[in-house]
Amino acid sequence: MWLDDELEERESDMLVRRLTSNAELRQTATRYFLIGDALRGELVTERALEVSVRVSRSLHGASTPKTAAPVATLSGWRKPLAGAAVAATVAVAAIVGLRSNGLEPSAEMPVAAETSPVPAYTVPVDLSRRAGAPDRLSSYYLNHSEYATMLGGQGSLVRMISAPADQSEAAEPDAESEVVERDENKR
Amino acid sequence: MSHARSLSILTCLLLAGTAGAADEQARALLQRMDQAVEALNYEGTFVHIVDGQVETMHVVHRVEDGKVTERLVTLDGPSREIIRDDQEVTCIFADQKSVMVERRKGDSPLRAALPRYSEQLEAYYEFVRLRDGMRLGRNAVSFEIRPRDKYRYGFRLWMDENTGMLLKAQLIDIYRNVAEQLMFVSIRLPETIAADRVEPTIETGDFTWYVTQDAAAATARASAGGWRAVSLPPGFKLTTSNVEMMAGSEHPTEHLVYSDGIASVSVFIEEPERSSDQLQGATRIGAASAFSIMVGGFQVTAMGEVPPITVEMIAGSISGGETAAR
Repeated sequence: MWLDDELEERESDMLVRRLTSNAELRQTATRYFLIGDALRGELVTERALEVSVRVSRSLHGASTPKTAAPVATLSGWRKPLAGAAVAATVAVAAIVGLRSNGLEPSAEMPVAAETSPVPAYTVPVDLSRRAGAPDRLSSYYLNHSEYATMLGGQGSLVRMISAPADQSEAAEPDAESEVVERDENKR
Repeated sequence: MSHARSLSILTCLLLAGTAGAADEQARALLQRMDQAVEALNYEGTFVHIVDGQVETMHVVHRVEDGKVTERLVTLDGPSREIIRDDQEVTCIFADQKSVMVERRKGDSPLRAALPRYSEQLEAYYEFVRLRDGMRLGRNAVSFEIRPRDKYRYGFRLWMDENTGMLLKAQLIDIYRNVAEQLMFVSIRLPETIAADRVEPTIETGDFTWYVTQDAAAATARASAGGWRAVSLPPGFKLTTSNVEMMAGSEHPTEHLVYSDGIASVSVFIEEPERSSDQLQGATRIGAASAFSIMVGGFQVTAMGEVPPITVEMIAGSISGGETAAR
């Protein structure tokens, strides 16, 4: 199915194959969907613009600045199956170190009264100095994905193969979705 | 999902007259979506957005005779692929020339012990219908799960009204920001999917493999410690306790799972091989949080799709296994 559900199945298959092989087309499709989100009020304006700028940069070949990803090592791991002896140092899951600066709220603070200091309390640290650390976290997380209940589970394997995140940017702001009050569900 | 049943559900939604009924129906929709994501044949491309980074991925989900096989592959960035079937999860990292294999727990009693939807959830979450609309040319039903405290995240979800298939999901942090988003940009729901569509496409000939060791795990279970969290966020309960030999690990790891029915937190406890292996403090993987601490010479790490405060609280309260495990 596509935006307007007008494509025949064969055409849709062809488009999926093209999307799989054509990065520029994927970026374009992504941009249109994000524009759709913005029009429906599911992205706040400034965020939509930011994403649009990033996609535009990508389309024109300009790289966006990225912070070096933490490195996960497999130095302590066994190699039980056949393969060359590899002194493995790998970045597996996109693991980011955090450091609290005291802005983390207490559990009793009401949700609605919050502002949004999210970027302030997530500070990347150099995990590569802690030998063996990130590889264990990746293994833990893969294992956790088996037990993640429904919604968390949907995204857990995606996070496993996701590229390291760009630490220079803040989290996405509220999508400002329009809420239908419960009593309006009568319709 | 038959057309008649879809109409029935829609009718129920239209006639909903009380807040309790709305909650109940939102929960029913949630459960329906959860089942559809596992039970349907589908193939689609989706974007994953976290920390302002947009990544495109492709998923093929095949169900044959009740057995699920799934292939998830990155279309941007490093070439990576995950194959999941009823036996194991295989992660292929072409950029690292490594393969990590974890045995599936499948439909074991451990997994079955996970809590299901119940009215108890309403003490910790509010279920709110959002305005329905069109997504991918389909009528989409959308709703939000709002946490009532700071120990859990919320979700906004869009599902295909006819099939229950998830079309878009947003993970909402404690400040009501979208912390992570997963959104299909194309999806097909065919009756059948050919087996070769879920075969790995990355050649792994010279890769290094790291796999779970089942036999060692069975031995390790006999000496399981008595670790437990003594202080939990409201609503969280122990749902699973196990000892595992994880891929690449030479030592057994005790694994506890705490859940409130929506969110789950895994706690891993093991003896570090070297003092330099010790983990301390907070990390995150996408929108998932992790917190590590040393307890009596054991490494304790809590992680899950919850706020940092939750994993820190749970990890910090783990005790009781130091003596039993030695």
